[in-house]
Amino acid sequence: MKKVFLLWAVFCFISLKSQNKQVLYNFAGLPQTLLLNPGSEINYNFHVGIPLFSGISAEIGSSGFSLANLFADDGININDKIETILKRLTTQDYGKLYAQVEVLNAGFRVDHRTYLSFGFYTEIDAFGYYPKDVFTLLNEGNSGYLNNNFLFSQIVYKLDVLGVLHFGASHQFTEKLTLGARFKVYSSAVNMRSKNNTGSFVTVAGRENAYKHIFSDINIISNSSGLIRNDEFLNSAGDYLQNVFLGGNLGIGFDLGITYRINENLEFSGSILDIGFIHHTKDISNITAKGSFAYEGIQFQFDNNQNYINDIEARFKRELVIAENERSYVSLRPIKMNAALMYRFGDKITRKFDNYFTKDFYTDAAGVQLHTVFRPLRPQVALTAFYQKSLTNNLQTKVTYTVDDFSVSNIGAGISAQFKNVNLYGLVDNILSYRDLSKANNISLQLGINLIFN
Amino acid sequence: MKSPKTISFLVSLYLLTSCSDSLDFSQLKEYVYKSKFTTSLIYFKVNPSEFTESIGGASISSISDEIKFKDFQTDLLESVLARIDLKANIENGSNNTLILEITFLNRSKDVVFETKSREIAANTLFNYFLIIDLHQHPEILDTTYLNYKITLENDSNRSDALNAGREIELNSSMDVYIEAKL
Repeated sequence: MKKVFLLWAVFCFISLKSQNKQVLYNFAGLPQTLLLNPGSEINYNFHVGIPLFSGISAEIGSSGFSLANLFADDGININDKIETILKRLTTQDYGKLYAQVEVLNAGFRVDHRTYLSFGFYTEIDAFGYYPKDVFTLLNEGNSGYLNNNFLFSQIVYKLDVLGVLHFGASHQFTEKLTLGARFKVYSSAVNMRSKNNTGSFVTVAGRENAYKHIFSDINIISNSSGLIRNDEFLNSAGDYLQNVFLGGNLGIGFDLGITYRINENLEFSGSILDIGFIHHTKDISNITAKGSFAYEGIQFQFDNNQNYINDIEARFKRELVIAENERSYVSLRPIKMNAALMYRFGDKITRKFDNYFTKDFYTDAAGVQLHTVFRPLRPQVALTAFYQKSLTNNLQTKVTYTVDDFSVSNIGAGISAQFKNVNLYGLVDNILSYRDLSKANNISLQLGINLIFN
Repeated sequence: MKSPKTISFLVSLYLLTSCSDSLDFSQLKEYVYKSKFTTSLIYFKVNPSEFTESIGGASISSISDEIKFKDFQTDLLESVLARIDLKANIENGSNNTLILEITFLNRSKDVVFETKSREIAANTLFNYFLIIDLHQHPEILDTTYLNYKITLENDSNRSDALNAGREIELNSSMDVYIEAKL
């Protein structure tokens, strides 16, 4: 039972997804914006991130409930709270957690049009919808739900722990158009996923006996790689670490990006990220359940020679086949898309970059951004309005307002400060929730230190 | 620079003073997992003619059958089982009184829990309902065999009673109450 609850808790709190970095997108020319749009315009000659500290991102969220709903010290019985939450959850609710740490991030200008960048980051990226029917069946049992179909199709989750080696180029083709691309090599340390499941369980009035229990058209598949070797869980941190650093299941992918200056003030930018796949071949454990099974009880024959339980077990195994295999499989990366329209205004500043080129900047900018990530049931969309301002040559700020699945009052803020060649930045999302973090459905932040040389 | 400093100060102050309602994670210790599962159990349909008449006895004869549970099934339930409700509908279509006995036996076939035998008059329908509280009867967790025994009483004046009666039908189910603390 503890295991069941643990799984439930893990699913609730460690269900994960990739992050919408709406404050970071297109902000202050930070090197990290290249990871969100490889076609970003870069206005410096060389950058290198402080290893392990150049880019730290984290996000946790749940669209169904907050920590306060569950653990607030409010005198309400915990059983009642759990029951209330489970009743309120819908099949569209999901949980997420995201973490990314840049191990290395560097780049340099080749000429006044081309900027190359490369690096390596580790990422936890996972996502899961709450399987309401399964939770209800486990938590309450079937007694109160006769004739109710419990659907296994609601089991949809994905967890990735991986390292990504990347190399990208941003090239300004004309004064107006900059295009970029980034090639990625993925090294998956852990992958778990289950999707496209079918089947149901129902208890109905029986014909021969009081009730009939029916498993219909079950087809459940759960894949994992990097977790189990020779029927035992890998418990060495070294194994996982080695797999993150290109020792794991490998894959490739790429990002594409564009920046287009429509006129002096108006700019469009967009990107499509993680068009790629990972081929999982090592430490695979796939579990499948397929078939149908109906059970109406045990029919006594009164010959005293029957082993009824064995007979039922054998029939169950025959009709609802549960099997394990170690076949390789391919997982697609969740594709993300960004698009933004930005209008620059305010004071105009012209900067000269070595002997290469000069560029005009404005102190203020405002616009809208759209972020989409493609998920198994439906794409998740977030729409952001933003305003950014250069307070001085070395200090830039950005404020965002985002509407997404979690909230219609998501305000984010970011600051980027340059002290000579040292750049510090910090960005937080859902800033209103900081009044009471426990009630937040979603919290995210990014921070880092870079060395930037103009 | 006054403006940036002010903004930085305000932002820092806001983040540093951000707070959360006091959360009490120890509440999980109070969490009691409770669920109720309903499952079909035994059913049969038997013709009175399958009972053999014994000469001069009070009963005609009895028939019985049993389920043998596997060890892991009882082990699994041992720590979480709180209560069992046993429900059965018995239609005694025979012309004789029927006695139903349900007995819980351990691995050595010793009785660990014996239910009160039920007498069901000829041609009647009987609803059987038994609540077994595991806290009061923990011995039931030693059950390996569940035995059903049906006896037909020799209370019919008709010599062809066994052949004349209709079938004896039973269907049954069980509500299993599970309770577990973390």
